[in-house]
Amino acid sequence: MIETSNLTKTFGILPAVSGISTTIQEGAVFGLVGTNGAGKSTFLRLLSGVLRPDSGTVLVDGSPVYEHPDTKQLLFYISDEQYFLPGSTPLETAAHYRLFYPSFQMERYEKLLDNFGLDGRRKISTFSKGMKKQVSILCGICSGANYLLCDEAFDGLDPVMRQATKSLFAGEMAQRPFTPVIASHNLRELEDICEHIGLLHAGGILLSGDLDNMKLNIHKLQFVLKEERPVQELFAPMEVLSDKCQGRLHTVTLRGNREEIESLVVSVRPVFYELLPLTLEEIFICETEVVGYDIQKIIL
Amino acid sequence: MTSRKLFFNLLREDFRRRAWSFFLGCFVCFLCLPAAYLLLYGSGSPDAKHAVETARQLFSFENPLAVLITVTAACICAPGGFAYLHRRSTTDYYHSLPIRRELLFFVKYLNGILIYALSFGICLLLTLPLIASKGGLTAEVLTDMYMMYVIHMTAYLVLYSVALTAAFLTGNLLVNIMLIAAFYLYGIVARFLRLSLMDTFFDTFYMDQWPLGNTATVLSPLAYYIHLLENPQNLFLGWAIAILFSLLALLLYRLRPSEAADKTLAFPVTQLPIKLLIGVPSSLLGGLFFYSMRHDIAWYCFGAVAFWLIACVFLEMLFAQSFRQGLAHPKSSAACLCIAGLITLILSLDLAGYNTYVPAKDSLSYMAVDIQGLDYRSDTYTWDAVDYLSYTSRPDYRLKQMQITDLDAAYALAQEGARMAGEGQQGDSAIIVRYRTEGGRDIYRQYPILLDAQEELLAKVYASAQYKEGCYPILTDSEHLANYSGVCFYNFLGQGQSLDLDAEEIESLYAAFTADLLETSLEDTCTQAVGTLYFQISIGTMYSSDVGGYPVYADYSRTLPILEDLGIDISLDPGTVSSISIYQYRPGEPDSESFFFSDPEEIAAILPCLRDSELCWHAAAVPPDYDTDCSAELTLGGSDSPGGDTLYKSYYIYLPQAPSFLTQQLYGV
Repeated sequence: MIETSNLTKTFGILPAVSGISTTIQEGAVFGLVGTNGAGKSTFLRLLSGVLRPDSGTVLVDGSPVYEHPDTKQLLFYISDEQYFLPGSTPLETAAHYRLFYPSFQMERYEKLLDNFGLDGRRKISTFSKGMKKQVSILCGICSGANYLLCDEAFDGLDPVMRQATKSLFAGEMAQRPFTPVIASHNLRELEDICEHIGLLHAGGILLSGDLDNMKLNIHKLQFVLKEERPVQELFAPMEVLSDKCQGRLHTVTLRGNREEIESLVVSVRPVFYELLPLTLEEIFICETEVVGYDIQKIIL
Repeated sequence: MTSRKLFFNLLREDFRRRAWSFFLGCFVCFLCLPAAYLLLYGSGSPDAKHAVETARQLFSFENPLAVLITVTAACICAPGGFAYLHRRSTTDYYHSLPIRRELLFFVKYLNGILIYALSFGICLLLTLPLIASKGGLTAEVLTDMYMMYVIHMTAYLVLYSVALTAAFLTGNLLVNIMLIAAFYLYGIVARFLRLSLMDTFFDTFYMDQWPLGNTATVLSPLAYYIHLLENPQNLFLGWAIAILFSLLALLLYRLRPSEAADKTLAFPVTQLPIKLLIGVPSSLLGGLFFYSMRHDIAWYCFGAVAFWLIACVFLEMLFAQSFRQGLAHPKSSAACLCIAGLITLILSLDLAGYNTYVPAKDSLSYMAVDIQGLDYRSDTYTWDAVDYLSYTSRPDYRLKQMQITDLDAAYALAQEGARMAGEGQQGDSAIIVRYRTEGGRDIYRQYPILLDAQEELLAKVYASAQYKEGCYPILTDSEHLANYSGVCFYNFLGQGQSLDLDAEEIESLYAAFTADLLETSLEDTCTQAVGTLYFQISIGTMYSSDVGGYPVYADYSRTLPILEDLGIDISLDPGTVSSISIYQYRPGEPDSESFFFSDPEEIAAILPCLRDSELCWHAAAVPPDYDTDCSAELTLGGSDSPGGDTLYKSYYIYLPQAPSFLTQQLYGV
């Protein structure tokens, strides 16, 4: 389990991460989403021990990370700007990692390279962006680390490889304690694979928890009333996150229990009502709108 | 994996990654050592002596190629090993690995040393079989080779550790190179600037040596390198510096945040000190640059402002990595200008009292003085460790060798000079003073002096044996008498006679002359010199030279009889002079007026008042007794010079002894 407590990091006068306290449970895929500049990469770099926190703590299985090699052996970090040793091949890269990760599974790595159609003796510098990403992910999986911290893990992967990677994660999680932490802008991808989500905005964490619970707590409701009433009044004391009205058709996003919402809307005998499924993207937009990140303003 | 095993695995892995620099080093060292040896040896027939000399020449400390290789290697290996700190992706990669940063530091650090040590060492060893094949492998050659390796290795460790410290202060390769250059050269430039400012603003400033003269006191690894080559015994200092900077580098490496990659400065707190350390000297240098061309304080101010602006704008753009930020942080920029202005003000108004400073008399252990216009004719020289004679300048010799412990007269002269300097008075000459304090510190000053006004003090100083021993090398040269082989005497008319002397003759002449010289008073020097004495120095068949140029006066009662006994003619026969031409230069008139005397009686009357202008160094000191606008030339006749020979030797006229007919013609009195 990774726990952060009041984690803060400032670059010069710019706060990159402000007092994040969250928990990443092991054995589940944790998705880290956020607006641009929200601090996703910084948060991952703090988790991986690359950066020293200004304040707060990062504990991995109860131990601090920064400058603790034993703890860092539990983590494998894949940066969004990947780096490979100059002129190295996938096999040489793995051999290098093996120096630091004693339980690196070389045979499995070679097999996976074959499965993914990657030539182990070809220089990585000649690989495409997606192929480099595959090499990094395979190194991470075979390193034996319990936590794989990926910044934009699926960036550059084609749909087939993306699916293969997801399967690989799933298989790995089934076999041993393995927790991928994935930061991405691609919310649809994360929605497919993540069980837990952390939503970052302006250096702070807006929301963190089980994705299904999140979906259970936020609902999108479309309805048409016989007699117009203020939406806030109708659903009080629930929190209305957004309210859009086209003619008499209301589309409302609100936080609350599904049954309670339905009972409230039924009680006013609407002409029509329907609970629509919310995507992670919609949850993301809703939550960030609440704190002032209004997509309408950006578009208009 | 244990740390030790990991360390050696990483060491091997890192060395493999940096093999290019090792092979480059080997290639360059091969060209500069084995190949250079064969080149220097040439294609002549095998000659063991030549082989040894060539090897010793190659392995000498001052081999410029070895110095160049060492400096270049340090500049490449230090930033090269830690280049990953200059990019975010590489920094993230290395710092995310499960390894302590200290371990990573030591791996990179050690490889940086090994690359140089191995490439240089291997090529040195490769040179040995070549030397052996020519028959030149001797113990001396092996010792030279060993010392060369140790000296350059020590210098490399110093340069490398300093360059590493510079590398950890930045996250940008270009800035890293600039910082290394700054670390290497800052001390030298600062010394140059300090001395230039003092030379410009202080009338009494005297530069006792060129700016890098005492390399041990210049805070620069390059200056230390030069110092080490000249003083190989100072190895320990180099090791101490290397250890100190290595520890500093490790500390900076530990403290250095990973987010410093790509940034100009790894520690933002260093921004202001760096700006001040560069902005202020730049402004002062700019002022000096323009002042040196126009000698006008207005141009100084212009240069100071221009260079200040350039330096501050450049630094701000560099810090922010943006051309638009050139005018950022105006307060610190203004502080740079204010500090530079304050320094200029303090120096130009001499607010610290530099010009009038005279150390307390009781704090001095001795003084040395060089009074310009008080005997500047004779040679000054020193002997080195292998008995080779080398000439030095008169001020250098006197200031280094003289130790006047009876301070009264010299100190009074210095006080008077300081008073004149403080009041802005000009002198007709100058006195350079070296004060040696009880604490061993040397203080140098150059004061103006009016020689005629200080005749009494000058006479006291001149009468001092310590003054003379610091002026005339011959007085302290008894231990080198074995190298004295003869004497050369030039009479009053400049006609020379040389004699080879045996050891006994040398010894007696030396004893007589040094005794006479020590007893010479300032008054004696106004008398007519009988001639000029030189001693011949011979060192085997390799070296021979005449040194000295000492005036011999008529009252040298010990020297003159010995010279006569040796067969040297010291007499002045007026009959050998067929005519005397006297030229009088009058201020404001383009041509001189000449007076011609050929009557033997007139010649005999004029000759005693003539003084050899080269020996009459005090002519300017006692103007009432000499008219330096008058000079005489003699024409010789008689058996030695059939048909007459004009002596283009200049003589002054000593007015108190001038015959009345001469003063009547020259001055109408």
